Amino acid sequence: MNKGLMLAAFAVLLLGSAFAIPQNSSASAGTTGNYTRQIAAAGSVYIEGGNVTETNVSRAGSTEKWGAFYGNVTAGLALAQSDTAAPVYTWAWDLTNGGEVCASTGSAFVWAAVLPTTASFIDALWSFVPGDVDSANNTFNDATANYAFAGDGSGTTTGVFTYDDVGADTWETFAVNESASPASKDDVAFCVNISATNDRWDAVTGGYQLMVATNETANTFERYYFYVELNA
Amino acid sequence: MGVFNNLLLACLLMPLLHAYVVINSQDYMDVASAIFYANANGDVNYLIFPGDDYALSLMQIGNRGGILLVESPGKPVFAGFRSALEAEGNLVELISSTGTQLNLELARKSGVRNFIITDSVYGHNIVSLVAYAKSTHAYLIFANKSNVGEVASFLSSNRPDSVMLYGILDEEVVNAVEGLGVGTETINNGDKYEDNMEIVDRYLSSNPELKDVLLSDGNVLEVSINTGDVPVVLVSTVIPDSTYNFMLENARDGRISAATLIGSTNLDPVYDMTKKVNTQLVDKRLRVLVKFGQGATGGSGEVQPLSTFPLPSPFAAVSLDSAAYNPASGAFELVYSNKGNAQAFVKSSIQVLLNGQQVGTIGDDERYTIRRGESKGVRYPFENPGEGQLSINDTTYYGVSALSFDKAFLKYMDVGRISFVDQSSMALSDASYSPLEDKLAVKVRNNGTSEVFYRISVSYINDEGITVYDEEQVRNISAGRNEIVSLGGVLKLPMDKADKTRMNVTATYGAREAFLEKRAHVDVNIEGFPWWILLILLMILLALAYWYYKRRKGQGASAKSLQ
Repeated sequence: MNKGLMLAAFAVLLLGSAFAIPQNSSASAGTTGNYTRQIAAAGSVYIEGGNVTETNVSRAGSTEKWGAFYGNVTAGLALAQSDTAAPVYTWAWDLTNGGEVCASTGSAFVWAAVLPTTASFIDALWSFVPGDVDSANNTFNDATANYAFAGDGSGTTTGVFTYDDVGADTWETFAVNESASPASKDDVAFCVNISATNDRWDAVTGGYQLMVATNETANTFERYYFYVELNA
Repeated sequence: MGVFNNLLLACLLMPLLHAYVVINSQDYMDVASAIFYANANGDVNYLIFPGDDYALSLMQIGNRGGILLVESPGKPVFAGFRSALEAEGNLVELISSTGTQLNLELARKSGVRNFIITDSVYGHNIVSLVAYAKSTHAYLIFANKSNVGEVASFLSSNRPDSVMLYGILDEEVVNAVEGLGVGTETINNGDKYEDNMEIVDRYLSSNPELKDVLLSDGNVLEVSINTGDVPVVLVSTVIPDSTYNFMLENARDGRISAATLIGSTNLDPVYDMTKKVNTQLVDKRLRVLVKFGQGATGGSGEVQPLSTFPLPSPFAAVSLDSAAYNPASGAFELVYSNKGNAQAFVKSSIQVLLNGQQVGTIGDDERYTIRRGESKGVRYPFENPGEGQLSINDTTYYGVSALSFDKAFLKYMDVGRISFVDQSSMALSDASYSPLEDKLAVKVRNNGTSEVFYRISVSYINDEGITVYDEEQVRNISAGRNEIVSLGGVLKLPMDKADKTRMNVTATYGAREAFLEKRAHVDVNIEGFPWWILLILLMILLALAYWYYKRRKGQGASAKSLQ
């Protein structure tokens, strides 16, 4: 042990993907959406929401207002000589420790004062028409979604369940603000509790899956930043 | 004409229009300069990261009306970006400059009167200072011994309201800025973490409503850092106790409620720190989140790593170049050099061996510094080591922090006995200083029979106290030779203090570059104000006034005759 023990290898694997979220929409004939091209670039992802078809009125469509992300969170804390050496002791951090994954357009979201928000705020900030079938008003239909960040960051807010692989309400996305009166999209974060047991839409167990609002205007792009709170 | 008027109007309004600064450079100094410029002026900055997509960057910027494009002439991320921005409907003002030249150009353009000075080698200082500078409307100036003249000249002509010297700086910079006579304050604890906590503490004190901090190792810029809305606490793979205590105390006092770690590189020590902090807190908990990626909605894209811009890291590279025992001085004489890009703090412990058996230990009680690129001789007294083969086993610790070492080397070396008496001799004479030109000249003569190495130091005293300028450069002069050494633009003696100031020049010198132990000294003759110039000017003015009077008188007479 020439260099002594070294606290290392808290390897956190934060994987994620994005997809156009299928919604249990009951869109009526005549509901229109703009067809927009998808642009995927090396090194970063700026992709618009999927297109809405107005013909298949009775089946789930894809909406331009919402997108979703999912992924894994794994971590481990080890006392070892190096990242590759066998550990002397390992403190296992696993998904049962909990925490949240959040996505916000805010590059420096202020987490000190996490506050509840409303679907109306989301509609206003993203310029969604509240009467649209896929507006926040008609999507975030749980007004008492629980959130619990470390410290005094707990309460109830607006939320929506997304589905697992068999279409059951499983992952609740909840929205929070960094201020009482959010003035811009950057003040809002969409979050979900990390779970070790929930199945995701792709039938993988554990991780996170959340839904975020997107700009439905053609040829406009939004970048989301991802945050994770590992309960410590 | 209408088009011309519109163009003219656009040109006149251009400086007022852009509240959006686009940064297109792969040079960290350009990037930092433009970020501090934008933040000091209340503008939004958009940094094009290396690897960004051309079309997507363009789409994200869109039409902002007026844009200031700061672009490296030689190393932009994208070529031809100005015309692309104009095609989007933007009115673009281009600044195509780089490095310290751009740094001062933007300083002038900013119009701000508060400045922070740091050495660009310490990239983490940039990260530490972004938020504080924004909150105080201050601009960051990069200075070291090679551009101290330009910086001092800029500050002298712009008469700033405040100047902060942040972190480890070359002595030439400190002396030049402090000699300007403007109010300066200094944050330099010799350690990046201590300096960082001091500046964050100041920020939190003046912005008590913000309870958030960012956590970063200071090695990269990222958009959340660039906005300057939240201060950054520096962390690393081993978080210093002082940083842990800082977080604990501020969390306990309610000054920090949440922290966001930028990237997951240092997740393990931050996780550990958070656990320890929250164990200590009774009714509060520190909320720590990790900003781990970026992406966008829809399609099948994946969450991507954060876009980051690399910053330089300071490093020291100290080596033991030679060692000898000098019976004439009764001491071991060791020469160390620092080939790193930053000043090194050094401390050695050396076993002395005679015929392979340890006969004593020599070394340093306190750490000392070796400047970048410098060789330094150290003498360790050791009487009568005995006859036989001498050798040393040198363990030297060093690093860029005054508080902790992060590097060490172990070197075994046989040591010769070289009886050396420094018989060099040098004299200074005919020293004069012109306050008007800020120029000092001094005559140097090598009176000895061998080459002499020397370093010049100038000091002056007046009612402002003592001002010292230490030249970093070691000069040399051949035996029997005279030369005039000239220093310009560094002493900054105010003209009105000239007749109340005493100035002298000292040269430390010796026959060996690493051992400059002798001194030569001379008083400086300070030239008074050249009153004869004022007299000539006054005479010219009088002549002009007389000519004008005569002309007016002549015109009056002509007018009367016409009537």
